[in-house]
Amino acid sequence: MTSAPGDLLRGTLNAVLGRTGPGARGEAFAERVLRITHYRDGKRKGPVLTRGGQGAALRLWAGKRVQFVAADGKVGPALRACVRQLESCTVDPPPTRSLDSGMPGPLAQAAGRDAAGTHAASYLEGLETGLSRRLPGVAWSLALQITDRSTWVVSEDGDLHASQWRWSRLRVDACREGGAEAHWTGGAPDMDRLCRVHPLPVLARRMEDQLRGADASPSRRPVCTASTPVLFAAGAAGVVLHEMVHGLEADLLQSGWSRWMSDSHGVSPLLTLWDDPTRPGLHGSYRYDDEGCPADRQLLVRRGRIVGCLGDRLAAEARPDIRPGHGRRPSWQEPPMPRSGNLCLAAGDDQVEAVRGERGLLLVVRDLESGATDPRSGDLTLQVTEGEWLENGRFIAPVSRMVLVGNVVNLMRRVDRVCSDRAADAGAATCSREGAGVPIGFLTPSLRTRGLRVLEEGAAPPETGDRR
Amino acid sequence: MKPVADARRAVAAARAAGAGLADAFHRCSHTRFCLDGPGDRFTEGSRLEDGLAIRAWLGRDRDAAWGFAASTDGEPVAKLAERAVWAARGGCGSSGAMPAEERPLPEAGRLPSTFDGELLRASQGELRRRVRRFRKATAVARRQGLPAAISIALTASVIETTLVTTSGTVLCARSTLAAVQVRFPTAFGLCRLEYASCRLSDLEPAPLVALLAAYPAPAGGMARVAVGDGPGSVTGDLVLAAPLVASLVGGVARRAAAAGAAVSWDSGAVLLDDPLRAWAPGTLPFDGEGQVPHRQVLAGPPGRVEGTAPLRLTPVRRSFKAPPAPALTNLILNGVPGGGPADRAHCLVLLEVAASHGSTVLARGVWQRRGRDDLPVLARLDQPLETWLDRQARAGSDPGRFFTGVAFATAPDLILKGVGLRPQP
Repeated sequence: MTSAPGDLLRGTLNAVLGRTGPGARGEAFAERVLRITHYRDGKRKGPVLTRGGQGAALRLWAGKRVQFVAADGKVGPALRACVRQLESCTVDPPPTRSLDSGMPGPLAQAAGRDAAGTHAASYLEGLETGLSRRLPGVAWSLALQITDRSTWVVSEDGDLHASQWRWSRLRVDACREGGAEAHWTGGAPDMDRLCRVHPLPVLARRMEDQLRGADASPSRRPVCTASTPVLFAAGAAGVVLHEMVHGLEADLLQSGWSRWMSDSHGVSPLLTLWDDPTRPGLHGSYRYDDEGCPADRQLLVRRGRIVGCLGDRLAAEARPDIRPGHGRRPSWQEPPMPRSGNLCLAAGDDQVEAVRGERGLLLVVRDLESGATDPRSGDLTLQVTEGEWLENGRFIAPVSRMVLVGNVVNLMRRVDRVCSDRAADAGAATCSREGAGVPIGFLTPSLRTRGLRVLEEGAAPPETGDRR
Repeated sequence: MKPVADARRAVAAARAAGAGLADAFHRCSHTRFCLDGPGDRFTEGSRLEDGLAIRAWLGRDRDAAWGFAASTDGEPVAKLAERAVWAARGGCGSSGAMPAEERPLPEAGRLPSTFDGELLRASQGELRRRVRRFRKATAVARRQGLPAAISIALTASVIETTLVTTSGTVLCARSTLAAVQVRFPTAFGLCRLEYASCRLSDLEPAPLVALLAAYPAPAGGMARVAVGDGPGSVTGDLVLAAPLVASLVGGVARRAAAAGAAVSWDSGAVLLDDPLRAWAPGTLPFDGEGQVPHRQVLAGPPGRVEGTAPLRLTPVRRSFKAPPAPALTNLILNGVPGGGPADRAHCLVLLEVAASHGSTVLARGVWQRRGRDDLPVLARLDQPLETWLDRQARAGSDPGRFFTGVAFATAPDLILKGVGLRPQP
């Protein structure tokens, strides 16, 4: 890791803080990212898209006034552009691209990555062949995205925190004659682990289940009402918990926009929930957040009582009981906001097989495409991609492409089973807030709750929100 | 001009690296923003985005393969071009869309206006004053019951784009985009209104007050109601507010695009995708492939949609980071006949979409009942928009603003007389 970005960031931040006056605080941030996406569609190699970039940002604040500027380019020119923006209140014509050096660009080396590209292409080819053999008559579309992100942050104390993050993300789309569709997304820190964690037979089985669910007539299925018990599988339960945790983001709490502000009753006593970005190997892991604070393991709910929230530097300044460590940004072009990293739920005592075998109807949700919640009302929408209906423990119908609506507060209060089968999610979840996504992970056991009702079943267009 | 020179060098470098055809797209934008948030926190600043993207094709026709490389970091254009060609080699065998070699060039005199000198000249102080005017205007809505915790975000962007292709096309455009987003807590939760224009002067705060005042203040619970005749239904007027209609026409447009054919409905209303509307936020002087975009009818009466060519959405590059993709630009619903106001003594006003799936929509709104307090409701509509238009919907006030959603969309309020409303348990 070169020290040049650190020196540039430190020097620039000291200069602008010196001009801003006493009491001013802030941070300088630089990022470099490269994404290579390989596609395979209909037994042919698809296009390869490579997308890279670098940029820098400065954020300064004094009291309740915050200034944020960002610019694309290598660290040196980008920081100079940031300073120019801070100094100027009028709009200059956008500057032309700068080709002078500041930091060695990694993208120039990308063209030499033929070996990695060939590996990705042959992996996708092998995957498609294997899937086609197991599920004939299905058209496959595969995308493998490899992301390499490096960040550098310096705050007013002068310390440099550099981080590097790599992730491989696989998306599989299947379409069978007759229109039945299935989708799956997963990821891992590298391709070897991707193959190990999501082996072909498991993938094929999940796609087959989804296709079978899409084929089945919705009229033969029971209807999910507010009193129907719903069992979220280990890992998938994280999506629901994540929607709850949106209301525990410090800026929403401080603005009075969170449902949990006015709610002193807490949630089910079976729930003990914390956010742990320090846990390695999950999608939302990091050592330092995007404000340069060490990753913070934050307890949020202890036995049903809300005891903490996700904080960043601005929130921590306003309230000393809030700890920073969750300030995250999707890119240098956005200021950081308090966001979740890896959400973990303590395992319970119930055995998942026993819960599945209980008398009556049970909707089992194995995978979700997305979730969206209103932080103030707690109204929640979940897009289920895979699941099943059980009656007295016996399978009665598959579920695919179903939208469930409910209220997250009600849902969390009505959790009556937390199982012992804690597992990580598929490794591709993204938290979208105000249109900008950051990677997140879940480590959760299965949990059962009530209070969801079905909005509609069948094929639906993609919706906005936190996505898998 | 440097972007043109860079793009030309990029195309030449791609040819030299072995590409048969190539195009280079440069986009540079300066976006300033002011955010007057809750708790008196005021955030302002700006960002500069600047990047170059190259698409390179190898082979021809069915054997053609293409690759794409984009970068912000000012790496030498030759290296970027090599990367695009490398990506194309990785994608050999793909039947990606080839660029047309003969491209009709937009005529300078016919380009829609998208560049606002006032926005370019506006100082940061001017943007701040504009945000304060919005804040003052929302105080009027507050007096009608809305709480003070409102956040107002204003953004103003200047965008320059350049497209150069191996067939000799060189296209340059300069445009501006201003948008305002207001967030406020209501009985439904945290709500948001957002609209945009190429002109800063189009973002006037006064019309916002009427929209804000329609929302119920955060107190009490929410009732459930289903729209449509059925057992236990009562008859009243139904008003679909402009932001909700703008969201619903987005659904119609996506359906038409997926089917590749315009939706036919019995109403005289016409839904257009118009990338050439002057000052509209989605307007494009040239599309992502360098061709003149064209208006398309996405839905309308049989006389308007029969015999029309299959739909082909405009290939759009909203950023340099991705290759052009078919997208909606400016959705415009017009031709709805005007009519008198709804019976406010007994009327369901639906304001925004809470959730949707297929043709089922959950919408939030207010049930106005004679002699009783307005009741916040969550209403279920089980039929698509055309069903409501077919029932001789009348246009209420026309906002003339483009709301931001799936696409930029403008639509009037729709008023339907004598609709069945069923309270739900």
